[in-house]
Amino acid sequence: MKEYKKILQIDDLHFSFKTYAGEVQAVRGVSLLINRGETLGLVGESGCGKSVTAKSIVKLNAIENGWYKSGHIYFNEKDLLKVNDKELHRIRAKEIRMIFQDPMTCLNPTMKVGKQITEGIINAHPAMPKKEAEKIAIGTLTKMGIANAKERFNHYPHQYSGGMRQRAMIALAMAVNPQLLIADEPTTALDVTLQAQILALIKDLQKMYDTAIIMITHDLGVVANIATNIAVMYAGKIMEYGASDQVFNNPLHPYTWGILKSIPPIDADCSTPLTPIIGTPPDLFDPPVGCPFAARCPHVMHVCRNAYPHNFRTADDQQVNCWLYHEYAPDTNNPITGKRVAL
Amino acid sequence: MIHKEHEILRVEHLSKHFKVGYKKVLKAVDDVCFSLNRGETLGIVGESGCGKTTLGRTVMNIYQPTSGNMYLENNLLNPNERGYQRKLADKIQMVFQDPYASLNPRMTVGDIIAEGWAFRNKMSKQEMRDRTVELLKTVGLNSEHANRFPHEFSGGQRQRIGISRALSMEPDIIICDEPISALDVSVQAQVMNLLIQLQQTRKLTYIFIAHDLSMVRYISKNILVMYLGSQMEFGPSNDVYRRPLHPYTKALFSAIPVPNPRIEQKRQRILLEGEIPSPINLPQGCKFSTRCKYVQDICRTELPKTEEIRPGHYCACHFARTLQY
Repeated sequence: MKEYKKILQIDDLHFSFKTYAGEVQAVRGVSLLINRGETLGLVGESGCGKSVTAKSIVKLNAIENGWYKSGHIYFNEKDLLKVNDKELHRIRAKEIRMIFQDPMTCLNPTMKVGKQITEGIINAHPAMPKKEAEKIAIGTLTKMGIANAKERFNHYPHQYSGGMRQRAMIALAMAVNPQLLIADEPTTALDVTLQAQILALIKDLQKMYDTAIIMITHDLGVVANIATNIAVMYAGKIMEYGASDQVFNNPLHPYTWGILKSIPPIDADCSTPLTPIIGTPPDLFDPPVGCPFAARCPHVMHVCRNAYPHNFRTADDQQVNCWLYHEYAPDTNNPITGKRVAL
Repeated sequence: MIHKEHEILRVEHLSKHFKVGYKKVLKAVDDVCFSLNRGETLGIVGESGCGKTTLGRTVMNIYQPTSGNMYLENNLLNPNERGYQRKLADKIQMVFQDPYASLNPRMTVGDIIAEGWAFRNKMSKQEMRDRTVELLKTVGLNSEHANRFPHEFSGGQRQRIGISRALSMEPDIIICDEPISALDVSVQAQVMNLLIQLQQTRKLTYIFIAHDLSMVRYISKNILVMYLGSQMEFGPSNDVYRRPLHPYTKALFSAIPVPNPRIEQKRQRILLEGEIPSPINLPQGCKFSTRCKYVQDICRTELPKTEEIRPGHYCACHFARTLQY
């Protein structure tokens, strides 16, 4: 059996923002675990807190109006919420790197791409001579599939096309060979053909470096392609967590059933109507006491509105927060598998 | 193309070229032909920058076409005619991509929906109010929503307002330009169901422009695949998806991620090399020749003609008949 090494562990993280209208509880008790070489897909609708969760790992959320209410983030057994600024800077430079949806929010438009990558490498390894760093930078650009990397090294981001900027941003992140890569919707703005290229590239790099990846997306197709584990988020909480194959083929939470049923099945035409989830997500200024999905759930029970469900676990370590798995819950059919719900 | 019984719109050799800089021309839409039957949906797909939005807007006469003919219910349209835009707007309406940008923030929802009627001076105020409420109910909103402003609504609700605005003119054709791409998955399905239900009750015809290929397949009867402003393939939806004729279509569809890891891990992907070339310096010959893996010498020199390969299934490729995938 392959030995898994734990790299990141998030314990009961709460993160809130202060706004004029009051406190927005963006993340409300998220716990996650990522091993080396694995990819975690973080899926959810917009505003469910997936980006805030990811950014809070490296403290990239605005600190002026946001704060960690409670929780721990352990990276290689070190609590990231307690490290000093110097250490945090080192971790950001070398060990945890992020890529974003829009490459221009990451690349500096006034600086040559090559210089940015070289600077990143020197930040991570202060003792490295510049010549060597440049060599590594060119090598990484080549690995990213950028033709003529030597020449492109001296170009500005605006001289790159959209797909190349995305590659340059990934190069910037991967040049220092990080242990954890956080990808915040890296392919959302791209066409399917480019998306396929970029995903293949990320997968290759992962194999090469054994990097752990957190892939944030709302596209279920993307996570099906790349993720080993999937966490489904809703209203700042994790609804379901499990191996990718299980979450898609034996989903446990009614919210997951809902999203899977609202995408058109392959080969279907419009004579079979889609089953949307009725309603809208709850307001995070004043989140409901019970299950946040209760208002939209077709299987809602009395208890759902009054108490947040316990965490139930299957034998294969798939976890779900839903009262339907309690021993006193009524018999219900899982609409995806057609079988009775059970752990 | 042969005239058909229920044909509502036929577009022949439609082009839209923009002048950019000195003696440079951007061929955003180049020689596109298609036809549409009443009550059916045409899906237009392609990568960004392939001209699908420009095509929709040229049909709507938001951009004046450079050349080409359009027939609405078998009557040739004359864009230079007086009052043409208004006449066209009675027949064709549009739903836009961004539900945040396409509604005027300073108008109430009622005014937004009634604006077309107010322009035409055909109705009394009371009548307008009644019909607005009726329309809001058809798209799943309430009568009290008429007095609110767009910022008070969520993305899905705004898209419903956009749809009711398009319906207000009782058009035959609605051009949906990426109507769901700004919405979340669960809300996308709500809007799709609404569009389909309206199509069935009102015999609407849709031109559905989107880059979400699985949704396009779901709603469309026919599909038009575009690349760099040109039409690559046009045919019945299932035929195009199952047995694509053009190498580009084949590559495009193989790139759609399937939300099932079991299928996803076994699939063979055709990864297109490189990126879409600049539409100003178009490649000679077939526009796809720079990225096509079956490219031959003839592709680089000669522009392929659109031919009917199977009944109703057109393709512009020199080797459409011979290529086996």
